[in-house]
Amino acid sequence: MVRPGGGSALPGLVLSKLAPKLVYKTLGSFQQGLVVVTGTAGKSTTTKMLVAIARAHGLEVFTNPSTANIEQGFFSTIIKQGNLFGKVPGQIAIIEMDEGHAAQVVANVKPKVSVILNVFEDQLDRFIDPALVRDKLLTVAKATTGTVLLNADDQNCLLIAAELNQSQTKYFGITSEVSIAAKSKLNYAPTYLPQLPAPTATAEVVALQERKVTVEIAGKSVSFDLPSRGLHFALDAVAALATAESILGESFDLVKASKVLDEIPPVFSRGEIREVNGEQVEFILVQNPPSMQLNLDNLAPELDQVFFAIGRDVHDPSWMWTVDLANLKHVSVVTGFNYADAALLLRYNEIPVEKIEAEYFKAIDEFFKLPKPKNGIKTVIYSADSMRRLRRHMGFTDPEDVQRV
Amino acid sequence: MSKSLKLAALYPDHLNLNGDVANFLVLQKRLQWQGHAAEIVSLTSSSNLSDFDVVLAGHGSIAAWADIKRIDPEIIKNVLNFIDSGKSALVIASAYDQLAEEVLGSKNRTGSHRSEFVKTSEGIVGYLNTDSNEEVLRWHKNSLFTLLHGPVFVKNPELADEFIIKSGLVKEIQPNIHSIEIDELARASRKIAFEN
Repeated sequence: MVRPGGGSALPGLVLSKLAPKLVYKTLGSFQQGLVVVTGTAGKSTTTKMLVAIARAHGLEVFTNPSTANIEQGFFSTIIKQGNLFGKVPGQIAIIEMDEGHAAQVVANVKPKVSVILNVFEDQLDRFIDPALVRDKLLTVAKATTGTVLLNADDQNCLLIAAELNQSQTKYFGITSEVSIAAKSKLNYAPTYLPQLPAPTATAEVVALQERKVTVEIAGKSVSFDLPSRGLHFALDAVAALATAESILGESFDLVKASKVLDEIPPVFSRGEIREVNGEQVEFILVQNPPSMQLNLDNLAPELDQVFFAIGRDVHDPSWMWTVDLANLKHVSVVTGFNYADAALLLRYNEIPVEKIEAEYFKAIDEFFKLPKPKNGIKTVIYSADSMRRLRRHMGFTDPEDVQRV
Repeated sequence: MSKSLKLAALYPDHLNLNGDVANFLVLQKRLQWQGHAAEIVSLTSSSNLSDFDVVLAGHGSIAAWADIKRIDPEIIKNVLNFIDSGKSALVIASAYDQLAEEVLGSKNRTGSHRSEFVKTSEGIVGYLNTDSNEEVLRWHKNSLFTLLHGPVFVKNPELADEFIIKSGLVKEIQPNIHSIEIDELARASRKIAFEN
């Protein structure tokens, strides 16, 4: 009943009509409570890392797949994992929540711990103004009964923290030296207010070189390889470690946690590299301005073959015009439901495009028929809808079927 | 290249929330195709607008406008003076609201928010994300006010050409090979907007 390839909200929609309170009852039933991971960007990767660390410490965890982060998605997950009465196994629930829906959920079931990752200028056709996103995240933070973990480097998070009881806040972050040296920048939504002083982070990224990251937490230091390159993945990792330390308390083992992160595969299409027709292909999901910007900034240099698809999920493609495309040097095929807007973006920015193809599956087939590139590997850059269609078309239907390269 | 034009984007770090500054990229390219060089300048002050041929005031967040008005309290007056001088400004979404508020003296708001693609009676397509009750598209003197956020000229190159002519930058648009594919893609983009 749950559609292969990533889409998973529809069965939940049916159940939500039949038993609207079931999701809250289920999420509120875990002995060690509910942990909510929310914010604009990095929810899926942070949740996957946190869940893996918690499981490595022996906790039985209920979680949601990355594509099921709105209310109907929670119902779908319960259908898959629970019994007839919505009872699902697990000691703790660690749930990724869309920032728009999280406020509604926490009105019905209070999290014990919440993680507020960031606020970017994103989905403004839906959220209108970044200040309104911040308000929604504040609602989540205020509903939290225990610890709220916040990004020390995002002024939006500090404004949220100012409204909370300081004894319940903890911070994670990246040292300014690492941020300045990084290839990409985390451009959080500006508040245009006097800068609030950065609080002391209990967990901090202190070094980053390609995928190798060093994190300091509770006076100890540890190094490991991230699943993919990029400052944003380092932020996800430090958020996951800080949260795991908070949840697990004295039983938290930093070495064990770092070993988990050293081996964890990426969430699908977040810098995922897999073999297709005997050659390696990188799959990159771009969902919003920050994810497109960060992923383009971290593109491998001199790529011969790039597939660029913007699908139906991008309701209003205006935001693509806020992204700096300087690192995108060439596109082999531009396609997807919004192929025309994507092609206009590339043409006006004078990025060479070999083919504009309105028919999506034809574009996929032609791209994968291209001979192996001389420079780099085939690289697929796509939005969520294009990702789902491509994965179904290619038969990559299991979200867990992601290898670490 | 017979003319070199200067296009001033006001506070592009603040007023580009939906890619509004891309409208200048469209103008720049379309002017080039008519044989005119155009330079895009980022402005963080409104005190010398008369030095420029065209001014763009884009859409910004609530916080962005509060900051601009703090550092440049004369901005609305300066943009209105520029428009009254007969030069062309492109005024988008919240900038339109700000100027309308100044001119009309009151907020022209419906109280309910609309977030959707719309098509005007002239066939202009764009995204409306506002509670403003102003006209979606309005010419005043040689300036264009629109509630359609983001790169409205990308979807509507005919509107960009009309703007170029009204601004007096070019007397008429000559057919050119560069715009054929672009205009075809823009037609497809306008159609797709209502298929989702």
